[in-house]
Amino acid sequence: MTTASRPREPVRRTLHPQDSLAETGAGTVLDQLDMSRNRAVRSLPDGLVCHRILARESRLETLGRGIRCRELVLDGSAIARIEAGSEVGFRLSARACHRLAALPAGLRAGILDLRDCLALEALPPGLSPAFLDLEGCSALTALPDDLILRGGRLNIRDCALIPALPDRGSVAQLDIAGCGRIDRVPEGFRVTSWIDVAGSGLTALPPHLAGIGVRWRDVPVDERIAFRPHELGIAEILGERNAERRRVMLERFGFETFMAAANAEELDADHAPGGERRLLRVALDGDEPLVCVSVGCPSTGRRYFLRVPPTMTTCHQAVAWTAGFDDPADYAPLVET
Amino acid sequence: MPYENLTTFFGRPVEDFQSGMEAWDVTRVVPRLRVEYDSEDTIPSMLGEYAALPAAEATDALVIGYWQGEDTSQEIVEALVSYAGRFPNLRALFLGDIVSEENEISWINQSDLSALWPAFPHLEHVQVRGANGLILGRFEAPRLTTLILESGGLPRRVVQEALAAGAPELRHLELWLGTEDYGGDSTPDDFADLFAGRLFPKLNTLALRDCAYADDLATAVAQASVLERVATLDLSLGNLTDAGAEALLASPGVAKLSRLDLHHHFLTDATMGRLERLGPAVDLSQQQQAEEYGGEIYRSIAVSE
Amino acid sequence: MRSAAGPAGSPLDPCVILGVAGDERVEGFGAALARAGLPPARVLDYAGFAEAPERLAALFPEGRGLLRIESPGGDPRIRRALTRLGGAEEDAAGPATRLVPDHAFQRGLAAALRLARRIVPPGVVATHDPDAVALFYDKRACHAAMAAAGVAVPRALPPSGDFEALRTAMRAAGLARVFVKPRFGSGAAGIAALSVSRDGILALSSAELVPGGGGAVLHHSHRLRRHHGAEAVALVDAILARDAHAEQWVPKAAPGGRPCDLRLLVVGGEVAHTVLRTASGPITNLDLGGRRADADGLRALAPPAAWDALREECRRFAGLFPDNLHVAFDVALTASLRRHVVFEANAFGDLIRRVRHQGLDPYEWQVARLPAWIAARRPVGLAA
Repeated sequence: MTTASRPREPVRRTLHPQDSLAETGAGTVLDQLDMSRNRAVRSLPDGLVCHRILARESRLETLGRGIRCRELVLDGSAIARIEAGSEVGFRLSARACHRLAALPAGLRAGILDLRDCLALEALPPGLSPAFLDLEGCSALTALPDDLILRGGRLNIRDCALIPALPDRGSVAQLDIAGCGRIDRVPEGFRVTSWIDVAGSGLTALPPHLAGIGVRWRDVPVDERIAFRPHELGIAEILGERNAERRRVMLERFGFETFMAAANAEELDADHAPGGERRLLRVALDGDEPLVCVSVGCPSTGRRYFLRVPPTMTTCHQAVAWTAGFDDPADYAPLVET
Repeated sequence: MPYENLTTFFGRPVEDFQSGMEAWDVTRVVPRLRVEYDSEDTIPSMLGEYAALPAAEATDALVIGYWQGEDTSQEIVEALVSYAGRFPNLRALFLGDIVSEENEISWINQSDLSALWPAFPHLEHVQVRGANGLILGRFEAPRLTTLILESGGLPRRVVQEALAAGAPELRHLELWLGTEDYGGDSTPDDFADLFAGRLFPKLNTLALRDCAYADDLATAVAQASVLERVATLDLSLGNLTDAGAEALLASPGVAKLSRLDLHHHFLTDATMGRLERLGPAVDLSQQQQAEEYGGEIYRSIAVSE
Repeated sequence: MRSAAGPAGSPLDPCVILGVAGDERVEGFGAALARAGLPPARVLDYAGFAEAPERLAALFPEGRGLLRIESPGGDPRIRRALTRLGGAEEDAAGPATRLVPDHAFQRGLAAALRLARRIVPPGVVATHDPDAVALFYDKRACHAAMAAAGVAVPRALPPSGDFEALRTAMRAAGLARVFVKPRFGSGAAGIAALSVSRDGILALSSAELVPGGGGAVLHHSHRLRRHHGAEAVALVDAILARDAHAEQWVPKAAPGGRPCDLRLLVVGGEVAHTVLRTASGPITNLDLGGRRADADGLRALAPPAAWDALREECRRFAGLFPDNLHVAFDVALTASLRRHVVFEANAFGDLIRRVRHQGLDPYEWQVARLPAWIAARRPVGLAA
């Protein structure tokens, strides 16, 4: 019934945590090698040809010479060196490989996922992936001059040291959230779907990107919310039906300004070393009420306005709640619309 | 609405490409990539295998079937884009040939497809099932003639992206609008530019199906100048009643159509009779009866869950 | 050496049925005996057996013959008797639709069959091995046994006590759709086909939570309904609280848009009657709107190798239980039609109406196969 050939039985090997690759000689050919969480193997046999190598959370330290594969997954592994001459045709995923400081030249993978490689200081020349994820690579100081992106995504979220985007290239998605030094998108750099601009140096959407989606740490917003939040109206914020979007609008507009303008009800007030504290409440349509505590910082004297759960009734309780969280922004409303 | 996996696509039979196959005759059969319940294969890994065959370069049509679990189509889309160089002649893509026994239409997790457009500039036929998480992006598709988005609830944002497409060759536009329960929050106003004839100069078939506001939509489209352009108007699978049908009956534009598809509707026999005499070949099959529950009248669209 | 058949004639004489007097199964087998020209079977009701087990021995005056073991069915009278035998009192006050845990009932059935085995004279051959019956009734244990035997089964999840635990297990296994089945139970009673996503929860089930004294009570409504969100969670919580087996929802072949599976009967080591059940949704049970169809319809669509593999696997697994005359499988081809998956093995799944194999109904077929099957067995107690 089929015009195609009968399938060949794929050759797959699975290594359990304590298994070694002892009997696997140089030049072995496999379809899949799954050595996720393996503790015994430090290096792959030279010349291994394997379509899919899965080595998540393994103790693999070096790849071995002349390894050829389509897909290589090293997430959370001990990998420290990927030898020059390794061929990864489709996808290299090495998320959170904290010992990985450099990559070899000539990597041809269409998908390069290096999120949270904290030691990665530079990328090699000659890269032209479709998708490049470098989110959280905080030691990375720049993108290579010759980097060409082929239509997919560039994600450099929270790579705060990177000063600029490549001069040319094309992506569907661009995430520069947290890249405070990036204040422009070169005209030769095209973006076709969306750009995430939260905390970047951009102050307006460049004209050549007109019409694309704007995001603020994953939440679809618009140019006004992202770049001109002072233009938002109280009624507009209160009337926003999407809870996530309203959260961003509030954050961008400023809780304090909003509370003042929305005639917030004062639930409690007291005095602390940083000055006066106030607990304020505004009812929101179709969502739990917005309750914020306003506090002063004893050392800097700056005032902060922090959102707390609506069950809070005193300033003290609210401040204690905020202390339990590294980032009060982690508090997300229970009711999403 | 029961539906089956594709047996043909882009004019040729569809068969599953299986891991380990070492040849494929693209001239006869369109490959479908799908995962089996007990397989370690992923669609990206199967696509890598297929892309390594000589057949890849000549492949003009590709079907992506069932993908497992809670996964979205993101990895599949990224794999397609990554391997785009191996598919220089791809003209037709079906993303989500998934039947309800595999996953309900409103539960299929799609993703951002925007990278597909520049990667496959020769696409003529794009068909997507499921609209959860679906993003089309702002795109140019210079050769696109058919765009079909099947869903149980098509978000207004996606409707807007589809209508903003740079697709000057588009002839067949088919949107399954669905219900608000599953994110279908479009309104007739979203189609103002389309109905006014400002979009898609070559449009021939306008299919706005599975619509939960079919009467309002029919009323809006009945007087629209876009009817001068199209030969087929398809408002099937929705909850059309006599109210919407009256607008269609009163429209000179509708009378001049060659085909009017209204199947799955809540029309009365009398109105059906008048529509049959209107002029176009009209499909009035699957007459539905409204249901009463707790004093409320319900008229369900065909595809929602 | 004297053959089991003996000079007097058939090895099916005498034949005693331990079952439910007057039910369709007992009548069906009786009719098959009559058509084969054999003397009628004596029927001992499970309730009567539970009251006075020694009666069974008296039915084999010559110390030889066939003991046919039948399904105890759903008759409340028999359920109560077996539940008592299992060491528990069943709440007799509840309506018949109420779903109650079946553990005690199953323990009672197992105890009854083991007792029957001990009581009958050593020259009697029984159609079922009590341990195998107990295994098949325990969906979790049966799944494990099939998996251990290399049978293609859905992936099982570890036992979960409530929806949250199940959700966590599903996430860990990468599954968005599972079947939740009462560990002991029959038919579709209490089964839910569960889908979860980031945005929603959907459970298709015939079980319904009905508010009652001291909290909601789980009922079998005999009607499939979609439960969403919190309602679905509460339902699944209630099913899991009764001890349930959860496994991957494997997409079944769905020709014409109708998912289908097969009831496939293996008798004496050979595949016999097969019937296709199709439905508009994932639950194909005939009492819940599933329709019977000709298995050849599916066979014609599938690659011959896939069809053969499905049959061979059922035959092979049934072969691990040579002391069971028949094993009935619920099995499907997957949506691609290339692979198969075995859902369940049933000890008493031979009530397959209006399907013939080589011109015989399932009971006639068994009557025809029994002499050879008996000849190949050593009777209960006759060790060499």
